[in-house]
Amino acid sequence: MLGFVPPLVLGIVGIIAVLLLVGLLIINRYKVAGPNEAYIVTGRKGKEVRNPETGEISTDLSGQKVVMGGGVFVMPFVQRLHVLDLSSRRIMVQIRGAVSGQGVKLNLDGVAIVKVGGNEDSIRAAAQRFLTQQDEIETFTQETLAGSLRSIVGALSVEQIIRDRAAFAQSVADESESSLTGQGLVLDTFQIQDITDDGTYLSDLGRPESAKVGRLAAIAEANARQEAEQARIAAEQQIAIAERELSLKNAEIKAETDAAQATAAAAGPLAQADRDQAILAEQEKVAVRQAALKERQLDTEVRKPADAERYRVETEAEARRTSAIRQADANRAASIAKAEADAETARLTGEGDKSRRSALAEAEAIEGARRGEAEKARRIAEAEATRAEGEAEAAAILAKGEAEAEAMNKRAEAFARYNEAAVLQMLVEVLPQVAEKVAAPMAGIDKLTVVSTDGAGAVPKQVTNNVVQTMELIKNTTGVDLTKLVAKYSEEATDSIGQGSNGHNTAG
Amino acid sequence: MTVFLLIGGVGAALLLLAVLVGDLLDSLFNFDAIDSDFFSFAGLAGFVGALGFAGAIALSVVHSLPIAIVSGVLVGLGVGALAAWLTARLKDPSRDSDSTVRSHHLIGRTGRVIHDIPAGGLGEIRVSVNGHPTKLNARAAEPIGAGTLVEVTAVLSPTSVMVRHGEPVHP
Repeated sequence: MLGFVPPLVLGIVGIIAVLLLVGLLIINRYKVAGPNEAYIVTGRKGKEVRNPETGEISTDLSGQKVVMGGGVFVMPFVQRLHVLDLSSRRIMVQIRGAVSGQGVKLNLDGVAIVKVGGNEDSIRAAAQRFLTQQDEIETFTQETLAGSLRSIVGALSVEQIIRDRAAFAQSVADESESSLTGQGLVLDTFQIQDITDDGTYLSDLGRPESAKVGRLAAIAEANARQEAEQARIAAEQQIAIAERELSLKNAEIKAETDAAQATAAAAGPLAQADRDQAILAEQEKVAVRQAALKERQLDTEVRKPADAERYRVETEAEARRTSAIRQADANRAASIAKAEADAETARLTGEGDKSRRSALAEAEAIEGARRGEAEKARRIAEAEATRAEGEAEAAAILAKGEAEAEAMNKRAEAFARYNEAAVLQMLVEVLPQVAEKVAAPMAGIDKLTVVSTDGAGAVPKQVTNNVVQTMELIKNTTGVDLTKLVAKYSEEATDSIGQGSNGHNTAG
Repeated sequence: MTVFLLIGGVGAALLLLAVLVGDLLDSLFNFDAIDSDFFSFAGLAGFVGALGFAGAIALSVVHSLPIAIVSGVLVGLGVGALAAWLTARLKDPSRDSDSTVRSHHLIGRTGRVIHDIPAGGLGEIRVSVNGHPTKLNARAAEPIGAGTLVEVTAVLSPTSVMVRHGEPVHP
């Protein structure tokens, strides 16, 4: 190797290597402490210090150098470096049956954070005790702290332990000052995690307060419920009021709309009624005109001929009556004369001829009767002849019969009957037309559906009814009872014959 | 030539050994008698190694044994002096980058009470020393409430101090 490499080059390389190694060695001697550790460099002599009081000279601990968070040069051979861990240590402390200041037995669980003190004196003290047994710090301290906690609990009441932080902290400080500081340890925190007791002291402690709180809560709940109920009821009242208003409003609106609708609905029929009324008025006018026309027609066609006929009949009757009266007068005068003659004969014949006279009288009576019968037969024949001539003849026969009674009476009755007869005739002629008018609505019917229990037989019934109603209508409006009139007329026609004979009897 | 190189090699080997095994060597060789900042293992080994190699360089350049010895000794002394100076400089306490808290640092510091200080009892204060927030037990002549600023007047034990109301003397 040396043969190949020139000595000069070898020397230069060696010098450089030596310089590098020296530097490296020196740098290696310089140690830097981490933030969680303290270096204790031993081996140097302490400085000499003179005690100002006694004058004694002694060396201090400066030879034992404590280094935290910095660098230190450790001399080889003469100095040694020791490392002390400054990290916190958690220590669980449990004590059972610790007697408190009031004599209550308590069980406590606590936790303490302990570390080596962060200053020179503490590090020195701790290094002296724990340097080679740093893991034992927890064990040592736990015993100490359990005793401390016991004495702290003994000095305080339960309430203070629980509540009085300052008092507890002060007691802890006192204890740590006396027990831990001397060992170079610092009690960072000491907290009680749990307190229990074998009796009921702790639970009784909270009972009054919890009862009070419970009472307050119950009161508050009751109040809240009351308020809620009140609010709910008030709200319901408001809702009811609002609903009432709404329904009132609705009713009002409905009334208005109904009225409007009714008005609208009525408008059509009203207009229709107006139109109908107008039509009816027009129709009425037409009817009035027609009635007038009809009247005039009747005047010309019926009444005047009837009047003429009546006049003719009346004059004929008058003539016949006069002749009949004359005839009767003549008969009576003849009878009277005959009777007078007979009476004169009887008187002249005397009383002795009573039987003859009675026979005579009887014969006279029989004769009279026969004469009456003959007269009657004659009159019946006459009346029948007259009736056959026409309706007016009956009146004449009647008048003839009545001539036997009161002449004037007979005449008046004859007059009245003639008027009724005239009216009757008129009405009888008009009646079909009226009936036609009544049936007109039915004529206009295109399709007739009869709803009746009588079935289709109701239709003729209806027609008859209409006729009857028409007659009733005439009766109610004009006061002329057609049925009665007709009946009466026919009755009187038959009666007049009987009456004539009666009248004759009366007259006889 | 070979002798010089051997001497240098021995020195370099010693240095390398010292670097590799470190403190083991310190326990093997006990130099209790020699208590000097100037003389150290690094200096000695550096001197030997430098002497050897420097001598070899000088011999190969000048080809004169006396000159080589003289120059080797001089260079070795230089290297030894360099090592000694470097060591002394690192050992100088005035140049310590040390932030160790010492009791006298506490005097005059301002802290804040975190647990009431009762009359005749211990409270707690928090003081910042060299940037370390430190919790200390504290006594005072009169009761001081929590939150009050206090000044440390005396150190009673590593973990307890005497305090009084007021502003710090040294800001």
